[in-house]
Amino acid sequence: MFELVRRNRNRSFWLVTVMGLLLAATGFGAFELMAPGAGGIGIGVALCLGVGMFLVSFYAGNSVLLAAAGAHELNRDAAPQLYNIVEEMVIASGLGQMPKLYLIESNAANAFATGRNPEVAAVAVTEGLLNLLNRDQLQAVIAHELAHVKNRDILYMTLLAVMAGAIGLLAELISRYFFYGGGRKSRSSNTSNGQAQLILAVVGIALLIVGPLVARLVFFAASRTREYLADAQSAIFTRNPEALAQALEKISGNLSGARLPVPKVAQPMLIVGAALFETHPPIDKRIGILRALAGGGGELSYARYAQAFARTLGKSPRFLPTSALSERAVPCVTRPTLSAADSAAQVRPTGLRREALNAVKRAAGYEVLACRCGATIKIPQSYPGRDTLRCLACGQNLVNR
Amino acid sequence: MAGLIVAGIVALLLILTIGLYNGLVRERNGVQNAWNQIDVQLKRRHDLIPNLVETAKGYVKHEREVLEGVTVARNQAVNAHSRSGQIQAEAQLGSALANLFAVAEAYPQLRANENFLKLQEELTSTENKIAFARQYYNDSVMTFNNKRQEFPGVLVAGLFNFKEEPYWKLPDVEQREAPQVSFN
Repeated sequence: MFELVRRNRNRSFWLVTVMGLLLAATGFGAFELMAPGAGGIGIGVALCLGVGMFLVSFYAGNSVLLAAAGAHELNRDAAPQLYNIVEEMVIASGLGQMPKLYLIESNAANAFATGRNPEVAAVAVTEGLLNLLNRDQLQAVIAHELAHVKNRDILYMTLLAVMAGAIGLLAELISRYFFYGGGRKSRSSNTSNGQAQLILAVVGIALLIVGPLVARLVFFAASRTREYLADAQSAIFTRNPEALAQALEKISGNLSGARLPVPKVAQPMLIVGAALFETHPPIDKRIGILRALAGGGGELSYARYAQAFARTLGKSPRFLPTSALSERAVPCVTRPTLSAADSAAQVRPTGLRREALNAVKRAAGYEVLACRCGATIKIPQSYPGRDTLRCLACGQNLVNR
Repeated sequence: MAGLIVAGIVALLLILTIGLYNGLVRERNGVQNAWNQIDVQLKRRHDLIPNLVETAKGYVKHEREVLEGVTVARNQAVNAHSRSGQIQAEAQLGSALANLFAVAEAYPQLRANENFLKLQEELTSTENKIAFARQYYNDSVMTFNNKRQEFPGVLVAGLFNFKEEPYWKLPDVEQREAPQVSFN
């Protein structure tokens, strides 16, 4: 997957270069208007501004975003289970370094990752997310976020978000000065004052044009492919695509609730974007692909994800690196779980509960398949994977033996 | 002129060999690192168990043998010398623990004990970490072995004697527990 890391690094480099050139051109134009021949100073000023902005977003981008989202750091004692879950996923992904964990006090269920590399990374989750999901589902969401960290999506996205935010702010400040403060003084102004205002106006207008452009760029950059890829990686890290599908289902069902206090420029970084912004793939498509993967004969690989993607969307994914596609499939294993509380109750319904469930299933027209090993599997009517269904206990093919 | 060409080809071959060699070393270190991860988690599990047994003792009076089973399995795992012996002992310890947690279901007071709950979460997580570390170990082994066997890595691997790394197979089919199965 090293291609992805390189791709994101190249993109970050080009982003910074293009932004620098844009700023330099703006500075040159503005100063040249004020005093012909002063364009060089303008370039200098603009570049200083640009370098400052880059340094802030590179070294403090994650802090800026986390502060803007109102997140505060969580220590181990405050959330031992979350720490355990993240540690498990750090091991599974081979990241080698724990990210810092942040909590956002909001009822909205969402999560995002930020930082510049795996050594300086942070994952923020909302209280709503912790309340909504069970352990496995939360784990799948964390795995998705750590995939963003591993692919260095976080660097590019953080740079973009902070720069877009800074330019937007600058444009707003200048235009406010121009329309309010500047307008009031203009009656008594002499020529040099008028020139200064002209410059500010030009810079302001330039920034007003560039600002939204950069903001648009943010949304393009949050290309849907990053999300699909992180979904695929989450499935492979957890070996449990169904858990992510359930988590996405729950989160999207909860979207209409409280809105997350995350700045607009940072929206594309969320695991599920607000419906308003089409930065994320349609969530039902993501769920559909994961379900197809979960029901696909118990094996996982990027190639299988690609197949499920093609079946669900009717086009083949070109974003998966060829090296990933050639990786061998791994079994989709359900690990033995010791946490008896909620999972065991679902896994092994006993006594009355099982009777009741069976009655409900019979009434709903479930088909009962008996396997040689003694297990019975109940599947809903018109279950799409019926013909290739394998026994969950022994792995034998149930239908076409 | 011919000398220059020969020198150029030799230099090119050398650079290629160095690149391949370094790549193999990196992958092999990855495998070793993945194995160390597993080791760390196994040790952590051994450290947690005496606390768990101590906490459960006061509540689970009628099922001493379950607790003893856990303690015995833990001691066997700690004292295992060979790698295969350890894998065997750890599997037994895993099922002994699962047994204890199943029994604990019948003791509401124990389940309400905060210390017990904390230990249960820690052990669950440790169990998961072992599974994930094993998963990552096997993935690393696969990447390394592939690189070792494929051309042109196979030439360099043969030259510098890179040995194939073993997979960690699940010793026991029972560990692959399946969901939503009912034995009527």
